[in-house]
Amino acid sequence: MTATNPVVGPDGHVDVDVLSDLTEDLLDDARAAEARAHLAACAECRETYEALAEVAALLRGQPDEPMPDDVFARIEAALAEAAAEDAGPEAPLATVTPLPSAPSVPRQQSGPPPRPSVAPVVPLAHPERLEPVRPHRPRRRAGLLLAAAAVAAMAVGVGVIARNGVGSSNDKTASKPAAGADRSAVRTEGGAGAAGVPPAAPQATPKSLAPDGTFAVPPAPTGPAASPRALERAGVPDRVRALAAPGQSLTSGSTSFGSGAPATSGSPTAAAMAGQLPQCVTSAADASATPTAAERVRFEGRTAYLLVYAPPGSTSANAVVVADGCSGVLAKAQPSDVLLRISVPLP
Amino acid sequence: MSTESAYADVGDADLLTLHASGDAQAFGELIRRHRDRLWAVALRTLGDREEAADALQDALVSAYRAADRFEGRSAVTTWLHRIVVNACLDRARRKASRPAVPLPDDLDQRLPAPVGEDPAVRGETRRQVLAALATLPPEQRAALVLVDMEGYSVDEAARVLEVAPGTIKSRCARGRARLLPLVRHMREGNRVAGPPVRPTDDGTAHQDGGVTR
Repeated sequence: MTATNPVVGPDGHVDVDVLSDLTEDLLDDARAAEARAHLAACAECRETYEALAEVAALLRGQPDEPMPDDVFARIEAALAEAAAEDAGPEAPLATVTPLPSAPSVPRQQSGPPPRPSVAPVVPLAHPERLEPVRPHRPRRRAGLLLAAAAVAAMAVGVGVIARNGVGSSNDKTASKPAAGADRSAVRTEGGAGAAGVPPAAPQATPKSLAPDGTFAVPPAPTGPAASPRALERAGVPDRVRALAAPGQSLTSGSTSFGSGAPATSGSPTAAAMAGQLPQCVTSAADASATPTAAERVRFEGRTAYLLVYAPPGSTSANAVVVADGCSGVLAKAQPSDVLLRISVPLP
Repeated sequence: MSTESAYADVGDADLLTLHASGDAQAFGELIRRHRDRLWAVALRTLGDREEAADALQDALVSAYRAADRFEGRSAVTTWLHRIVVNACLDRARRKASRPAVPLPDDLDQRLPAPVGEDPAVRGETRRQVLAALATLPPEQRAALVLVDMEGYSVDEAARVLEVAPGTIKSRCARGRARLLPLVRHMREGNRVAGPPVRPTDDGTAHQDGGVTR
């Protein structure tokens, strides 16, 4: 191309491309010397040379471009949809545009664990949106599932995520689930186990609607208005076991939605449940799944909810502690009010 | 109403690991962290808001599903940028293959009316820069966006685009050469606009507002 052009062209000036190459040190010594000699003698070419620097300065000087909120919302929704698709029975993974640059390495572990084919993911917080999640929806309709709900759809059986612990480790394998992990290993936030190994196999505890799609509620659940119980970090596993135990009588301030006990007559629907917990709490926690029990607590100085996910027959209970600080819309406004995630093996 | 993220101390790579192991919010957190830079790259590479949003959406969904293939050989941001830039380049090439690629020579004619350096019209300058960038071949555009606009080093940009550093330099050089009419156009605008509204150090300083940090 122009690389072979004479340094000084027929018009008596240095070609712009050559001048620009000069600024990037791309010319060989002889051509660079010739170009510099010409610059010293030619005001017009010097002006061009300076203008090239102005181009770079103009580009550098452009102000930041914050992502518009509607674009962010759209992307969150698309990710939510992806999560729902991955979770769905058909799981049309093949529709993903292949990454041009992704290294072709065998998948060590599938990111979103395949969910057992349970019915459509219904975000608890949005009972009005009961239509099934269909794969292959037009992209622009992505607003259907909200982000936290959706992204949450794949968080099945995460085992224990020790926030601080994981953060302190750069070993990318550190928090991979280990098969047959010690059932007694329960790590909590700030625990000593930097390599927080999620003990539960992803499919072990499907969070789903009960088979009949309903939830049992004990005869007289105490509402969230009750004085919240103080919950220590170290006491979480025991409390989770207590709430997950079938037929366990629950203490003041807790609400069970059928913790493995036979469903009582007149079981409320998901919509009824949704009314009992703040929307932001269920959304931030795991809106795709339905807690089997919930309890309002004081946790680390904050009012929060302990949500337990322990469908009948599970070998472990997943639980989250979510700060009750809602007003915003899902993850966007309150992205990370999950104070603790934990998986507790059940006896 | 906590604004503090529970992931505040979690590094990017660990967020990806968390995501791959099923953490429902780790990927969202990663995107929140880098949303503005990723958006800037997409918007500037494509020059069109809708195109950029589409490309970014495609790219991030791909990244969401490919996170377990991230090998840690580059920074997470490099990896994310690579996916985004590639998605943008694919789109830009497809677009470019439809109508004729505009020639840089007629950039002057297609630029909007010259503007002065009044801050009120800074948005117009921005628009002109985007429009001018859009006339470049996509590869040159991406190189200029990463190096000149986003401040990546040549080596970093080379890793993002997976080409040799010399290739990045060359693309930047040729891209800047093609953008010369833009600067000349703006200089002309400043001359036409008359004396600067705000006092400046000397007769040439009024240009600086538009061309330097």
